[in-house]
Amino acid sequence: MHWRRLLREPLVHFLLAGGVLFGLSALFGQSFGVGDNSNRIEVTADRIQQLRETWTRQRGAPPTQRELDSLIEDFIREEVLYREAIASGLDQGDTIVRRRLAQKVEFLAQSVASTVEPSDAELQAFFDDNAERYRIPEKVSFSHVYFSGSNRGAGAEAAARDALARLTSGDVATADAAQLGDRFMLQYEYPPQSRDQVRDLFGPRFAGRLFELPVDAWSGPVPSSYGMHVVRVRQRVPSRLPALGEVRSQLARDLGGERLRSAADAYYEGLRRRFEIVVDADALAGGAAGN
Amino acid sequence: MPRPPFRMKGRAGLAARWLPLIGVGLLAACGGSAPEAPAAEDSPPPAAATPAAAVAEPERNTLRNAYFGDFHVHSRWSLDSYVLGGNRDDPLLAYRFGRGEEVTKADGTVHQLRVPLDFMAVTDHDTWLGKVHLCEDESDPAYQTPTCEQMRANDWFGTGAFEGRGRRSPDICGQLEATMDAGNKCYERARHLWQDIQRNADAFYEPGVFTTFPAYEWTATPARYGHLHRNVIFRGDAVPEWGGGAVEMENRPERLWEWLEAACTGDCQVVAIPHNPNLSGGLAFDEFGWTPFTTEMLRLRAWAEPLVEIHQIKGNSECYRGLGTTDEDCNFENYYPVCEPGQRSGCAHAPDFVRNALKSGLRLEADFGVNPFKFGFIASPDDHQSLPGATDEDEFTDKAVKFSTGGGLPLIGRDLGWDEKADGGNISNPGGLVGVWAEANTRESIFDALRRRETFGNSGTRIHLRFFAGWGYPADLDTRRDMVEAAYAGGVPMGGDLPDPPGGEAGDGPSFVVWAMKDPYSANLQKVQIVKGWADADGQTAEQVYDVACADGLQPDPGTHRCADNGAQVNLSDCSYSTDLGAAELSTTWTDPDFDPALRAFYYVRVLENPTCRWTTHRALARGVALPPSDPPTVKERAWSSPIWYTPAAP
Repeated sequence: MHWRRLLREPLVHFLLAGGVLFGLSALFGQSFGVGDNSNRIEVTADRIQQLRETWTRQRGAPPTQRELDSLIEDFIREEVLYREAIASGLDQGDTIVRRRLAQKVEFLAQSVASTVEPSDAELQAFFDDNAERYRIPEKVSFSHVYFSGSNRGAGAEAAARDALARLTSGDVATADAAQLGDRFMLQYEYPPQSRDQVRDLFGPRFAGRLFELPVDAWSGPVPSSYGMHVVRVRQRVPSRLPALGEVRSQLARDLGGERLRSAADAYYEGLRRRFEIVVDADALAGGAAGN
Repeated sequence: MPRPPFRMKGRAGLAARWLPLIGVGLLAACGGSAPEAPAAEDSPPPAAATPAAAVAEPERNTLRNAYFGDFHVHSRWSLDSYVLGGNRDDPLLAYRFGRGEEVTKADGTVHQLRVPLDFMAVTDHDTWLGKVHLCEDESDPAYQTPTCEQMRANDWFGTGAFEGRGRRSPDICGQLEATMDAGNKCYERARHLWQDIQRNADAFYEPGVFTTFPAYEWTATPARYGHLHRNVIFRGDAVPEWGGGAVEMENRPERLWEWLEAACTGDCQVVAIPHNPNLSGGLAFDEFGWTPFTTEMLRLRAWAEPLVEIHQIKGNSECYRGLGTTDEDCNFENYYPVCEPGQRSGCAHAPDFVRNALKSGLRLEADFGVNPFKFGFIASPDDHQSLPGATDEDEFTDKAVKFSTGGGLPLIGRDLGWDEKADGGNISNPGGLVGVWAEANTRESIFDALRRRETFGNSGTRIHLRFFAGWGYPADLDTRRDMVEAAYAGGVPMGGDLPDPPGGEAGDGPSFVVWAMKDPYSANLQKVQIVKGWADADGQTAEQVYDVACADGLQPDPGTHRCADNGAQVNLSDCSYSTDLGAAELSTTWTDPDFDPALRAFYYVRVLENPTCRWTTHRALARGVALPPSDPPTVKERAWSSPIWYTPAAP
């Protein structure tokens, strides 16, 4: 297996995540001064440089020797108090500290997963597994003649029936159909539209009927949120699965999200297996019942 | 496009934005040739794939279609969204939501729009852009500063709101003054994010299907006053280099206009859209205290700002009963109480309302030869949770969308208890949408509609609204089949200027054609009104509201110009409403009975629906609690057309 491909393997992600976490804990262990050196505080050259830079950035000029001494003294003071806080267990039971540390670990697991881009083959595999999510719905293109419910009241339906008869008999040519009805705020002819699109424009009743109508014939009256319509479905485009290229960017976004979730979950599951977890079932049941 | 020189190597900084970002980030590196595991970047390069649907040129309708959009939404890139809203979702999630995808926010909640938007722009705050980003970048020393720690802990006061009111953030930006120098890290970071904003907009643009614009919110908040914010929307990918935010421009809108005029040249086109004049402390349509009205300045202002946002979550800005009007329909989602004598901020000033601004624009035009307040209307939500276009009163409940206002104002609707309302009066509404009449759903067509002000705003329901004026329209034009064609041919649409009358004789005045159609998901229409404002020779301004088309056979009283109420009801126990009253569509061809050819005037349309439940009522029902006592239980959703102006012919 080529080493680049190796980088895409979930197992490798997992191991990488573990490695980084190990490094993190080593790093934290050192800077927190816990562990073997718990009674030793070392102000290293790096630390002094960091203090100096922070000061310079905030004040616009480097610290004087006196100011630097004071910075170091402050750092030591904070470190001493911090270690005492840890030693006294003050970090325990603090929800904010707990949550923050838990988040740091979770983010770490995710960030490792997020750095690896999916190959074409992986996109294809993800697409194959989730194809229905990307299905392009059935669409119809249609023309219609409108009879305003507001202006014609109950007469709208009769007018629509009359128009339908004239169109069906050939008395009026399809090209002149629109002249039989009222002016309409939306379009008279629509290119292929999905059921949802039609529903958002004409209301649910119209959308429901439209998709049952025969192709290339005048039908109606079909009620909408606005009045009555005589409708001619021009074309019915069956539902289909898109080619990968048509949904590639959405696919990549979805796969990325999926990977982050599964990386976080897998990492968590791995950690969780190391614990024996005991929940007081009686208290739980009692709490639920008492609620 | 050049890559930003910085990379996010951080842990929390990166992973916190994991969900929406990662996909596009993954795409970026397709080819897989990076020898080391590549560091993911905060902002992705554009999605490589162009949707297949975009290949064909979208069909154009010369009579124009209505498209609905949102020009005001914030993501985690905005400090107030991040800290006050606790929002951890970025602009990409906003675009995905806007185009209709089901999205899962970082807090685990799942959201989907009932009706996808046709177009949108994400308008993150300029002022904090670089700083928010630096505060999340673990590779940058700013990350360790207490200010950034507090930001990440959602501590608004701990951030000092990032010195938004003119103070600087040397601890984050690396130097004392927030200048545009290359050495200023915040400015540099904002410059790169501006490129990311463009890339994000480009990546989601599908001509004919979903149109996106590069944009940001210019966030001037001068000390002691309300705000002077503007959303800056560019027509396409010809945009200037980042020119600094409101703080760098000393919170002076004229510097924004001057910069746009100087920098947005060639193919670049732009509009700046002021919003929330209702919160501007009397300044919105003023000289700001430092920009005296001159012909030159007013001309620049009129060029830069052809539109105003008339409605959003932080209240309505059309009008306020008692402040220059007695119109009872102005009692609608007003935010602040009326100012007490001597009170400057936190209250409603008469000059801050759009109808009054239109009137003062007529007066200024007489004095200076240019009308700086010749505004077309838009509306938007100003959501701060990366969820654009979610304007339904009931979804506002169902999704428990959290809003925040920023600027030190109390939170709106954030896990709202009714006590908050009693305490702070801070509840507003779900906001509205922008409507445009455009030939196609493309950047070019929609932007051109903005420029000619062929726009309308609404309070969140998708009422369709046409409005034209011309000389000598036939009296039945509104019912004729060729109405739209004839109205365009013989007059001007909403947002336009009436031409001089033929032969120079205004006679009985122009005729107006108005036509409105209901939202299939909302109540029937109750009435269509025309709001007229005018200025006389002495500079005195006045207004009159005319009911011009009322449902259920009602006719306006000749004295009051108002129709009786149609009696439509709402059942407050389940929010069902009258479906037998009101109309699916209303239209009329109208002439002004009080037309005076010697006076400058404007006319705009307001459409009112039958009443429906306000979001507070939906929410109370869902929670099984009592209605908030101080809020109206119902609202009349509405739409406003841009005005049409009449100017007497020069003698």
